[in-house]
Amino acid sequence: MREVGGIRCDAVLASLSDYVDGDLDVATRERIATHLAGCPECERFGAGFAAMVSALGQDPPPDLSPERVAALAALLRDGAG
Amino acid sequence: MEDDDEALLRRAGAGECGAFEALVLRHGGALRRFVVGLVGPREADDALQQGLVAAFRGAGGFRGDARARTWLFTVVRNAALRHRRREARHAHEAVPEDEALLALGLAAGWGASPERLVERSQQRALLARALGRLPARDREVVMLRDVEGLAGPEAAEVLGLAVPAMKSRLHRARLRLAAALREESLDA
Ligand SMILES: [Zn+2]
Repeated sequence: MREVGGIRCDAVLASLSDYVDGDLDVATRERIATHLAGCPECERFGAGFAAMVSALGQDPPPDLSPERVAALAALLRDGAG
Repeated sequence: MEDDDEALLRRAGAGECGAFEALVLRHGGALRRFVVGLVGPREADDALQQGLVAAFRGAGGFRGDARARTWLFTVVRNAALRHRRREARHAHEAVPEDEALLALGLAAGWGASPERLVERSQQRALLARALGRLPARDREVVMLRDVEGLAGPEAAEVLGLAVPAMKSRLHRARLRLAAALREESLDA
């Protein structure tokens, strides 16, 4: 743990989600970007963390089976069981 | 031109089954995937059905101050939680809320060959198993934000949390997920 770019590793770690979600003000964002450029541990961990978050959203949900949709429709039309 | 979700939900609230079915066709897959994360695959269809019936019955109460999709996730989640409480097999799990971020970060692999997190994330089966290892409360916030792609305020609304509380929970849950990915790949 060290200070690079005016911010410590543990503070970077605490802000990683806000960083990948784009929820930080410009000044904080730039401090973290500077830290990442100069701190290999945070840079590697941050890249992995961002890749993980992005991978989670890559699969579209499987469609409901037509049988399930039909069963639900019948249930709703019958007065919602 | 397709009706938007909110128009469909209002028509469902007026008793129009077909409008509700159109919403189910549009969002049912995502809702089912979320419910699987909450109650497991065996109970998912029952819980989803209860949730959708509750949503159709309650659609008249939709006020339009949230998006229809957010409202659907909220109603279906409440039904799934009721379902889970009835199925006493799911023991209540305590999740430490104040676990030090630093300890979570180290468990997640900060400073320890963490570049492999990138490769692990690309292995879908590994990622799914790691997600399955999380406490349910962590899993649901990751599913809403990262898997289903709800915006922060929408996920907070579904969970009944203020946005900062949701963000804090999400961050810890993601770090636990990264730790679970490490453990899964060590077990594999
Ligand atoms: Zn650092």
